[in-house]
Amino acid sequence: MDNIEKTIAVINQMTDDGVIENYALGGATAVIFYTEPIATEDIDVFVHIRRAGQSVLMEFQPLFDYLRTRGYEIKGEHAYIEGFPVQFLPISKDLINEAVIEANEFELSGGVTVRVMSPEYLVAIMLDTGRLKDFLRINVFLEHDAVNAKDLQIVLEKHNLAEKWRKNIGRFQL
Amino acid sequence: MKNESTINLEQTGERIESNKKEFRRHQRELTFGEKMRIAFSLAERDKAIRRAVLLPKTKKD
Repeated sequence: MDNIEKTIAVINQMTDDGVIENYALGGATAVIFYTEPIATEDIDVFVHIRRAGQSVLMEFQPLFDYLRTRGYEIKGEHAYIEGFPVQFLPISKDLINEAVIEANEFELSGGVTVRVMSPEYLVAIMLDTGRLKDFLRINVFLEHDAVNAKDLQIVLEKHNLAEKWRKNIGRFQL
Repeated sequence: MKNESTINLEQTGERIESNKKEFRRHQRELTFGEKMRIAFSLAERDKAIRRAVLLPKTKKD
């Protein structure tokens, strides 16, 4: 088993142990999964955590405690799991919530499964976030023909992003 | 009518474009673990470039 599979296996175990309810890889890591390597400093994992009205910091405390007791280092915003820096991110809006729920499941080597946000949701999130690097990542998806245009349109319309897409279409190499 | 050097230039351009596409297709087919290793190396490279650009030059440079 490669290190990345070990990292994912730990995250899956966190789900099995009830530390997190659900998760999906997002950000650059998910782009890389579907396309080609692009620079990234961490693995972005969006997680559903049981909410009890606490702050994000408090919500994540049990997650960090769980990892610490298993010998994994927490440094700044990263947990170092099997050699990879992992950033756990809260669900901040409906679009991301839906992206986690609707994530695709894949099997990696060693029989480890991984949940990855679909390309259509990733493009919608990147469009919504709207940084220069997000637009570059959208282009990577489009260049690899990795997005279903029909499904993307449905997500964009549902989350009021269709107009933003139209306004920015010139940035994308369609 | 195009002269020979223009044709050569166009052919070289097409070959580079084709190699680029082939390289990216190959990169896409790597395993997730392999791709992530390259991705982290690229981030390290970017960081080194940023440092080199942002750091003030010394007389030794």
